[in-house]
Amino acid sequence: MAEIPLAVLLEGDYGYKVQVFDTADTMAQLAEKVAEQVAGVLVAPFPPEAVLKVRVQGADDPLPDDLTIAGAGFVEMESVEIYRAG
Amino acid sequence: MALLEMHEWYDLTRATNWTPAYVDEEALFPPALSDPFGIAVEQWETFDEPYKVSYRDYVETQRDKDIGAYSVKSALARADFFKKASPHWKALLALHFSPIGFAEFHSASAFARMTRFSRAPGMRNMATFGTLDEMRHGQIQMYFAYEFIKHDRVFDWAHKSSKTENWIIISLRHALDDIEHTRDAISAAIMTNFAFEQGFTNLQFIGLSADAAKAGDHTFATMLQSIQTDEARHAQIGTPLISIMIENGRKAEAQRLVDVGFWRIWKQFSALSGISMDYYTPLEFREHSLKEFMHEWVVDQFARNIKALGLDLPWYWDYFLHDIETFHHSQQIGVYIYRATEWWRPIACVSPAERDWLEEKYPGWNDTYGKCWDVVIDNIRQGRFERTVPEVPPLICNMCGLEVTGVAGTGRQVNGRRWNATDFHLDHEGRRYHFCSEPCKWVFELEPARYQGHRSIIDRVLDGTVPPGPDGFYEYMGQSFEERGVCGYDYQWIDGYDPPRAAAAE
Repeated sequence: MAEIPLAVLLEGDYGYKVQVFDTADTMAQLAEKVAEQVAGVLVAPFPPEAVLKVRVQGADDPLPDDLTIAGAGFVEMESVEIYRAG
Repeated sequence: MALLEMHEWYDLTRATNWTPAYVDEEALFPPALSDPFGIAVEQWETFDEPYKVSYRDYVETQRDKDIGAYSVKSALARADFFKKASPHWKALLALHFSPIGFAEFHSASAFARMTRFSRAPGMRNMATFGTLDEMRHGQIQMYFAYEFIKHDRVFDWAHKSSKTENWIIISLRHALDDIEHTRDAISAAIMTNFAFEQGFTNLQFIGLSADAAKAGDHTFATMLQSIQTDEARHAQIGTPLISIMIENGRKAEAQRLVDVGFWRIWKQFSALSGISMDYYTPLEFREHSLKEFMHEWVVDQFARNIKALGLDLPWYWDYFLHDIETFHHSQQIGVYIYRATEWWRPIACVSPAERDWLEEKYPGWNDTYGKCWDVVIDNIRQGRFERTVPEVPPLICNMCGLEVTGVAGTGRQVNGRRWNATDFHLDHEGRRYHFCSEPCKWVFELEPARYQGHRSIIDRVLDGTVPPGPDGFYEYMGQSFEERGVCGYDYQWIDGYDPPRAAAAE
């Protein structure tokens, strides 16, 4: 486990943010941590039933919810998008 | 004894050049500083400036201009304009004076290098005047800004800013160091005099002057106009240089200098003039939107100048047209929400009436950037002030030093716009670089060795250069507690969203 900074963009936000995570964090945890920081600050809070997904910027498909940051092979300051599924 | 008329001697003196006897030509004019393009001195000696002036005429004109500008200031000082000015106008004045005054003073050094190292005698003459111009611009703006210090400590930053590592100053310094201060005399002149000054100074000094006159700030308006008359003259230095380069088979190099210089300065003006014109200028005094000014003076006029010289429009022109409508709106959100990182008192400028204006000028604004502001407004109305400032920092572009942003919104297709911030990153020699746009990335890729050592403010946080702790970031940027920006309206700007509360307050 180690800290890793990532460039993150939550759906609806005007720009990327920089946030530090743990390499053991799963994609679901990553999405939750980003939403904690940005939803309700710059993006309207998501409804409780909303499911957030993570994808590498430019990718079509989301990464599995239980995949860890280490498992995804992210480099420091990897650019990832967090968006609402569906 | 009768004096000769200027036309009888000007061309002779303009073309008079050194014939070095004690050192060789290359020692006197090292190619790295004078001409890396290898163009013969006889070609440079054909430099013929369109705006001819003798030193005697120059001094006389400048003296008259100074008398005019300082007289207006002196006459209107009693009017106490500043005390009565709204937080809008105070923020605009701070945003103008803080970064620009000393940047102009530094430009004297760039012109002095052109004066010393250009191989074109006519250019050396023009650049001498340019050197004096920029000293004047630094002095007059410092002097006019300092008038306000007795009312507001913010204006101390007219002098202080350039010595700090504040993130906005790092951004401006990186751009100006790149195009003005770290290149040979010819490249610096094409990038500064043509791409920067011919391209953009009308925007800040004429466009803003029109707004200032309308707002009743005649001192500021007169000062801006006085400066622009100098800019319009010395901006002409770049034009003959481009012609000489094209005639001597160096069109591609001239094109690249224009393309890089134009983009680098656009990003600065987008934030500076964009926020000034579309947000900080009080609604009732707005002459035009940034987009309208840009289309009149840059998209139309400057594009004509580029083509008339035989160059092409920069390859990113379509991207640039899109950027005119988008970039500064996102930057304004960031400038407001990260206000403690700025030394002035940022204002939101998104009251209901201002939003109507923004929607009219930039259709779709409410469904995009307005969505972010809706959340900020709701937090203020509910008293959740701590939620109006993000705890996480923004990603900063490794070229322009501004936020990596895009069109905000819902993430779904809205009026042809889409949630689309993109990090144009690049992995180079083991480090990941981040860029706000394809052109910023392109500039880096042209000369990675030139840019790769620079670290953005966020890089400095991550590598430990910025001291840890709650105050470390601000102290690194030269901001004491009192020098950290707070909402210029103390959040009262949201009263327009809450008519009963406003009525009760009355």
